[in-house]
Amino acid sequence: MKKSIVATLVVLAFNAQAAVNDQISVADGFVREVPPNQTISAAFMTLHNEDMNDHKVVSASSPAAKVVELHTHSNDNGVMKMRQIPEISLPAGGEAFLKPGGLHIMLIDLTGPLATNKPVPVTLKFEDGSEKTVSLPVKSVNPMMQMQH
Amino acid sequence: MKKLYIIYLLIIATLGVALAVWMQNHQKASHAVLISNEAPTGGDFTLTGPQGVVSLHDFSGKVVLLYFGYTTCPDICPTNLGNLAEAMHLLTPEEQNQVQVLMITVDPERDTQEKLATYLPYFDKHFIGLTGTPEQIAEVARRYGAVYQKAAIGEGALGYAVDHSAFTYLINQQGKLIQQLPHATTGSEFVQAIRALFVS
Repeated sequence: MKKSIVATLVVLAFNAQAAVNDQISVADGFVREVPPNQTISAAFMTLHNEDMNDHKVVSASSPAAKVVELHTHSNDNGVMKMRQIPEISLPAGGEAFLKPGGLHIMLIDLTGPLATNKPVPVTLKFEDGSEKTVSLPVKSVNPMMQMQH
Repeated sequence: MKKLYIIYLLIIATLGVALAVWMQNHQKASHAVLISNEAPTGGDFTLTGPQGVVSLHDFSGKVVLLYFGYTTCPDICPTNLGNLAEAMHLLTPEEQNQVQVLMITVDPERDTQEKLATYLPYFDKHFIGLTGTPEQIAEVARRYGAVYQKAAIGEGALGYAVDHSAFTYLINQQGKLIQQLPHATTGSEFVQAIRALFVS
């Protein structure tokens, strides 16, 4: 009983500080499985900002890759252009959709092969320095591989 | 004298209108450099596949889906190739035998034949990756209306990416370019386009 009171107090204390990581929820996340010998992949997810203030993701990291970067795509008259971006905006009460063909978190120089049965931890860092780590399933784009699961 | 003055004015006005029309057309033409509005001609080509020389006419009698991409393409190519793999999966085995997916690399510098030979079969074991000299690839791309360009991406660790048009070119059993399917065409949309060629 005493323990749970302490735990509640701790939670309340954190909420009082209103760190950004508490205001952001993550859904529908996955990392794309890649062909053999491929050293890059990407993480996708929907970020929901439950706060009344705008926030942003300023960087990301993962033990699965040596370098992790924030990227976006633009479709310029049929030509797909990918660029690194400094931050991902999370509008107050709104969502940021990280999905194929758009915003994504690039995993560069993978430290090992990705396996569909081994979730990948990805840590998001927000503008106030607070962090949120999510465990993302590895998803195959290959329909045959998906069938096996 | 006054009459002459009016004629001069008329000539100048006509020239002005002509110039405006010409400039408008000219502007349209310069936009078209990136993705031509005219239908690309397509046609036969010969490049290098995993087992040596591969030509489009080798697949005569089959429906060919041609894609320009590269193996370090982080997102766009895997999405399209995944959708094409899904399309293959949706076809009957008999139909699958009448379809060939080809990817021509737009990054011949980094994409060796070995790399292509491990990359493409991941999506579907029948997919074939083709490479050639930069000049050969540029020539084929031009005929199909595919464009690509190396791009530095920030201070990133990737080195460079290749901006590229992400159309899938649908080629009929006679080697004729029929249609360009845009990026993010779904598996079932590909199936529809393929089956339309089976009946025609």
